[in-house]
Amino acid sequence: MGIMLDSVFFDRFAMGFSLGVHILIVMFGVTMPVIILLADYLWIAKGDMVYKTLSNRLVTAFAILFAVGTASGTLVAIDLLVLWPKFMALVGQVAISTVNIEVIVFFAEAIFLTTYFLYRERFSSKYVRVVLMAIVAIAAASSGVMITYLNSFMNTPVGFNITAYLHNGTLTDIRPFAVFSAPAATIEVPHVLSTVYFAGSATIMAYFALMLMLSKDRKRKEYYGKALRLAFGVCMVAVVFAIITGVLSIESLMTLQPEKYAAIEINVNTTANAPEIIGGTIVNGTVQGAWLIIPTLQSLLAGGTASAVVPGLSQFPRSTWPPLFIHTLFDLMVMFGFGIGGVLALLLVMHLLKVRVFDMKIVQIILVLIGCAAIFILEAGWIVDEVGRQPWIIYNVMAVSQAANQSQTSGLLAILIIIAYAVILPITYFVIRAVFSKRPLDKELRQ
Amino acid sequence: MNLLVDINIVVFALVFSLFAVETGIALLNLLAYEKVWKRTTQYIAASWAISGTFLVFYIVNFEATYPLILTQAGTLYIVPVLLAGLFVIFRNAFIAYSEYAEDAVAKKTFVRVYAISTLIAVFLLISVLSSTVTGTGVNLSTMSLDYLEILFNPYNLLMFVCTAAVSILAVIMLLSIEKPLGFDKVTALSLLLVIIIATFLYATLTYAPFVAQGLGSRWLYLIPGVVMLLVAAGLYLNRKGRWNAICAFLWLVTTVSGFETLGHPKIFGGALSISSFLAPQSAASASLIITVCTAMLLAVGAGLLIYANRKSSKKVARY
Repeated sequence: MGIMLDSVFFDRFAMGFSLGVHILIVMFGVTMPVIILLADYLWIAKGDMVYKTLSNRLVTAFAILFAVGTASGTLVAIDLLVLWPKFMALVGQVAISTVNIEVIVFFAEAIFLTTYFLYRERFSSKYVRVVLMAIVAIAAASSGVMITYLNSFMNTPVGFNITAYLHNGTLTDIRPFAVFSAPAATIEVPHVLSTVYFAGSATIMAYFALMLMLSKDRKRKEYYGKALRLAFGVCMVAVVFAIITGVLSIESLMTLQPEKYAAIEINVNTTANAPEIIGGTIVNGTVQGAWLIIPTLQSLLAGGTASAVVPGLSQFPRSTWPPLFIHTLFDLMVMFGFGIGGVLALLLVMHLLKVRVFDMKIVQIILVLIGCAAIFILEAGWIVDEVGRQPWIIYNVMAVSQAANQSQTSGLLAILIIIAYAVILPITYFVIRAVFSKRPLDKELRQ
Repeated sequence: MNLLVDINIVVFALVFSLFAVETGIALLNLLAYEKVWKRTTQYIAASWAISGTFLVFYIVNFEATYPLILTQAGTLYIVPVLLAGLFVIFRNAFIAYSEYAEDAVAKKTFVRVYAISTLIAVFLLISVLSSTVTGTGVNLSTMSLDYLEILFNPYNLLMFVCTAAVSILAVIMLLSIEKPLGFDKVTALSLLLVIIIATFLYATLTYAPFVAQGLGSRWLYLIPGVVMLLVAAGLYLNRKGRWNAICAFLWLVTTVSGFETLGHPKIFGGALSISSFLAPQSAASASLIITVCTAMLLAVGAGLLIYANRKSSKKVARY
């Protein structure tokens, strides 16, 4: 049986690919300002020039990534308009404040980053650069927060009369700022922010661990060691928040998006004493191929007691079930997340006990692997959220197929988007490499 | 007219002007790289991120102002707008690469790719604009585009030529680069002549359907062009003035606003009125509040950048 590739498939693919790449750039765009800010502060507070070198080198890489991020952000804005025009027509009337405010904070980020980048050495007080970078960091985070508010609106729509819209297709009783009270946002915003900080800092930490592993010279070891510890600190704080908010977000799904919850937990029936099922899928109405089944655990985690009732997919029409592969993806994501949290906590305890953990080769290898896993966790979390809402673009209001542009050219455009990124991303990598090869670390450290 | 529409026109004029300046910079870098790259790079380094963000601001502002037309607009213009978006990616990336390239050959290559990407993106966006004004190449009953026709019709080509000529003149005035360019009176007059002919033909041809429908006389549509030329000549003659750069940019913004306002509220050669696609009152009020906040932030941000730039110039001068 052949696969039918219609225009909606290509719209989905083009949007998914653009966002999948954009998320990776955003991960650096949100985290790097925090690390640069801390490096600047440590340089001023401790008078340690290693931190100034770290800040100067990171800000150069950040500026290049910011340029690519701005461009891919523009493409995402254009994608939304042309691939999902009916969706944007609704958002334009009900939830556009989120995107509007996102543009304001993005302006702030662009202006203050330009000022920092071009003129930071010109201000008489060193603290001006700290203030400038703090504004950049806040603006970058706020940008992500605003887009997450829009995503929360897609998961739990508010701000208009939904019954009237479903009845006659007209928008009435519009409250444009109600989007900020979308029920999903309470947990989704802190969870997205903490996971982005976690993934960004883990990847940067992995780079520093790798470079520390490859360093032979004492000065270089000192530089990468300090940089690694700084990124580790940010990662440690972020992972704690990511795990707490992650657990809470699963609980909130049970009431806000029960189909998504049931698909993630692969629950066939609504039941008490529900087991936690790891792996497996539903075949002919029963779960098959599970890796591990822990009796009653799901009910205990969800409601605090064994008698807690959790929703099952059978209570919803088959047509509104999300694709079930999100269950496996979710399981892998949670296993990696808790595993990484445990390893980082252990390293922290050892570090506090004065064990020189970061100098151990095995720890450096583990940290590199954690960086790779963090990228998987970030992308998997986003896929679980988006695919888990299918077939809806706005939950229980508008289906993806209703919102999509039906143009037959989507396929070609999707291919062009892939080609564009395939050209840009390697060049960006080589340009960053070339920049730093002209600015050897040893020379900067000596200066 | 309502306030949100007025703001949308001004935002459009600002975006158009910022990208027109970049069009001029792109053309000059392709034609006379060695003579202009130093001065133009200084401008681009400080402004590319803000210009790029302005483009997103306009998209979002358009979505907030005319949400009811988005389904049709998205369906019709998916190809040229998405293609323009891809070239904007190249524009951003390559201008950033050129800033960091130490090697002269690599820098020149990066600037060239930036320049070509900018020109293609601007040409595609002008084609979209031109077709919404004239309706050329647009079939509203089938909601389809004739791509060759929207790209290569006389209105569009004239608009691009006019934009290119105006943008070169604007960049020369904005960045005061007539000396390194060897820009003499003959070249200036030739450029003005191109602008005069292109503007006259563009205004006459483009707004012919509007005149035919009794929406103003033919001469009304020539007024912005004539005013633009007079101000251009005045600015060129007084180009040593302190506020010349600001005046040149304001002139560009005012001219674009003037042209944009002419056809309003009719689009597609007078076939549709855009007023019927406006946002509902509550959503419009929210957008207005946020847009005012954006304007205030931009004013503060621009002030900060100018302050930092002047402070740094003074320090450099002292050394």
